[in-house]
Amino acid sequence: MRPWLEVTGLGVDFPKARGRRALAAVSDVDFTLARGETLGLVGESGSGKSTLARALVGLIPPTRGQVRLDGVDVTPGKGQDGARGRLQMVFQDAEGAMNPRLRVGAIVAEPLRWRGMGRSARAHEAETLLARVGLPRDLMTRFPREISGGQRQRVALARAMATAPELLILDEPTSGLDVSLQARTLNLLRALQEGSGLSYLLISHDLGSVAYLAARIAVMYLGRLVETAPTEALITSPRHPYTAALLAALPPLVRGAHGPVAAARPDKAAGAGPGGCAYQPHCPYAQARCHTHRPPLTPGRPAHAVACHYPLPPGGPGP
Amino acid sequence: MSSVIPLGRTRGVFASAQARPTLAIGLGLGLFVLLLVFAWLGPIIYPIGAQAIHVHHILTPPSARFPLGTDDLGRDLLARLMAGGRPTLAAGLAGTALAFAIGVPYGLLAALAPAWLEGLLMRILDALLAVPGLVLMMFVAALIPLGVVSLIGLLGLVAWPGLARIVRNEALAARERDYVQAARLFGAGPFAIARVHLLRAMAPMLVVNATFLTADLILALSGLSFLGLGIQPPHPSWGGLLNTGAQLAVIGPWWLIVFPGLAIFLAILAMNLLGQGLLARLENR
Amino acid sequence: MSAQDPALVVEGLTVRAQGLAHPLVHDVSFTVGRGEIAALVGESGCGKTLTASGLLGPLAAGLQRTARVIRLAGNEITGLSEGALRTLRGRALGMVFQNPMSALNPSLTLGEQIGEVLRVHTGARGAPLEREAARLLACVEIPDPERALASYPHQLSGGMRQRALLAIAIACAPRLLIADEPTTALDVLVQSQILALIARLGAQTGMGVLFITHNLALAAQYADTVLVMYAGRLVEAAPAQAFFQGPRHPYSRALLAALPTLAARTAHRLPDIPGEAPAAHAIVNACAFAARCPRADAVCRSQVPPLSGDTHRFACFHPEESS
Repeated sequence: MRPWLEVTGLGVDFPKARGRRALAAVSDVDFTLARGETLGLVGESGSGKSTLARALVGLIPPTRGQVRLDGVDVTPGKGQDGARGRLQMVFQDAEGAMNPRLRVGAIVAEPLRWRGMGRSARAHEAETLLARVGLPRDLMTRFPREISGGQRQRVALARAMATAPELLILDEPTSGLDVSLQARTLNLLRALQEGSGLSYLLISHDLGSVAYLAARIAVMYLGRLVETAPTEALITSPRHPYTAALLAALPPLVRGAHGPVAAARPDKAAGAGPGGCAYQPHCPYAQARCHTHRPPLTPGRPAHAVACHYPLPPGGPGP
Repeated sequence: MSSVIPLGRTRGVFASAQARPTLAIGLGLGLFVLLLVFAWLGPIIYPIGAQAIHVHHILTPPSARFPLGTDDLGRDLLARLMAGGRPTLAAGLAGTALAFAIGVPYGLLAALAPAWLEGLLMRILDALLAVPGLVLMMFVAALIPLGVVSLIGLLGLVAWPGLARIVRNEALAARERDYVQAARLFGAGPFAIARVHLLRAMAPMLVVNATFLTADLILALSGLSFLGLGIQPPHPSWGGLLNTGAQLAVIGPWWLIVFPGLAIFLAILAMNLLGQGLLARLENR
Repeated sequence: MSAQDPALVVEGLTVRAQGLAHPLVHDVSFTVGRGEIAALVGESGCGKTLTASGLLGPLAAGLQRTARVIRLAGNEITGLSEGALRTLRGRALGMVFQNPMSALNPSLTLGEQIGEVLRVHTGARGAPLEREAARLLACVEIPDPERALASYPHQLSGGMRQRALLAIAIACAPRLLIADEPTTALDVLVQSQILALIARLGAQTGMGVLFITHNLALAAQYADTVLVMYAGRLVEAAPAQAFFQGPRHPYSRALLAALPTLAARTAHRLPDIPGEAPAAHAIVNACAFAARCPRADAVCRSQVPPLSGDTHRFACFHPEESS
């Protein structure tokens, strides 16, 4: 069966200073997503997670690759407008993503305004949307800076829901929130999804919250996916040494009994060769081949793909 | 924020306006309103004709009958200052309005246009900015004698390119904000974005620029009139009155220099206090 | 200062703001032992940063500190003149913050900045000074210290900057290190490295660490003592092991339960805490948590529960069972 959302070979280059070679921020990204599914995307800052998100919705036109929705090519920048409104994004910085001079009511209803909905219908819709994310209607007349951070987060979510999107891209939806607000946001996201067929691409550096929401997780390192697997498989038996290092770095309270404990990550000074594996300078298991040949993302056991010449054995870390 | 028409003014004396913005805004606004009242409502309280000639009272110093004295034709200076304030202040405000009417849309268009059009618009702007504004004004005014309306048009035409450049730069910066990116994502077109987001983001900056530009234009018009190129006699203007005073300076009627000079000074001071106060508040936020 | 003294003893620390009838930090008492990491945990706005800056630092205008006892490495500092306090701070206290960029001077090399601190504290100059600076960078595990000394802050990664700041903080061999959210801006891998480093430095030198964080999981991993703050008061203070085995205050328990852990991924719902935390000065004659607490009754709404207990202290009339 053909997947609902299919991303193949997606790449984004940032033009470098005059005459220089373009800098690849994202390369060769392949993944699929089913209706109603949540895919988690984890990686360090600068790994290209946010760039990938912006490329998917077309804020940064992708340089290479294809995005297909229900088998139809909706790659941004190709002239098609097929995905407009069906893919929506919630920005990481909720406050920055709101015009400080507009009131909450106008902010939430903004997507409807650009679809030509009248003023009074918009006000009515805004109330409904706020109610869906559990916010009272008297917030409508406030300005973004007059409400709390948690409320702003919900307003951003309500606004993204306005066009009834089928896929929500959530960029670090809980970063900067306190534990109690983080839990509430995660619960809300799960509640919004239930029975609605809404899919999420959940971008976060926090494996704990990703594991809570996502059925599958993709791990990104320096612009490439290095491992994609069902959540269960990824956290109990990571195949890529980088994934193992990420899991090992989790505080024991978050990690619990799962996953490997501490695979050493030597901080070698040397960079990777142009053709080699990007993680090789940090990898405790790197061998000669890793310096010269970049490993492609290779599908393994059911839906567990890994980009490594010498992946960790299934079921436990370390050779 | 640079002056739109470079007239070589310093703003050092307004440092204290930066420290106490509310006071500066209040003083500036109050002073400007007083000047408007003086020019437009003054004649109701002081109903003496600005063109009326009192042949027996030529060059009389300030007295009970002529509070600010008379000029070399025996005309009442207070009445002439009121009458002269009207075209001077009106030209400053209307010239600013005209510059905004052209400069703001042009700047926004340059910021939102596709690359080829942006290049063209910016090149036109650079060419216009290369011409020194005051010199251009003097040149045009010297060739063709101008009425008040055409003077306003000239002021606006000279001032808009500088404003357009500021607007474009501000719009480019505002365009990168997440909420503008989000609006794009929600399907807003470039003009909708300009109207709803960019203009709102720039509004405070535009208000500040309007006050400085008004001051600049009042000064520019007074300069032209002083040189005999602006509002033509017998119609009074503050710059023209100052011109009369300067020509007669050798025979010593000090009031013909002091009062018109003071009027120009107060108008510039008012707009600068207002502008500096608003700017300080904008920067503090 | 004797080597046996705890790094920090605080009793009855209260911080008031001008114009507010009730304090922002209320009667906070705790001890940070030698070589010990005490985690001051709480959500944003609970007063944890104010507590740390209220301890030893100069306070912002309009704030006023009172305390029965504040002893830094055995030296009583209440009543000390600002000059004497500054000297003591320079000798016995190091600090690292969330954003190392704002604490480092962007126009000076690391060598110049570390050298400056060392010159003031040791009077060293020339080659010995450079050797000492390089040794400090090696202490915080910066590879190639000589090269790092010649670098400007912007040439370093976030993790390296935080290490550099740590090197400056430990330059005078402080007895107490205040680390205010030192890794919040860093990636997971770097975060664990920096915290492990701080823990090692504490263990090696006997330096006490007051680790301010909103992250209970990090406290569980690195702290010897946990201090939970809510609305300007300490609500629970206990050895880390006892705390994580059985937190007694309902707020502590709720915080722990709300953590999205790998084990929680199959849970249908994360237990969150309803409502929002009140401002410290807003609650007077009641437990500040009462409005959000499932165990609260009339007593909780009419009296402030005192922080009581021996080694495991908590401020609650109806504490959770110890397990």
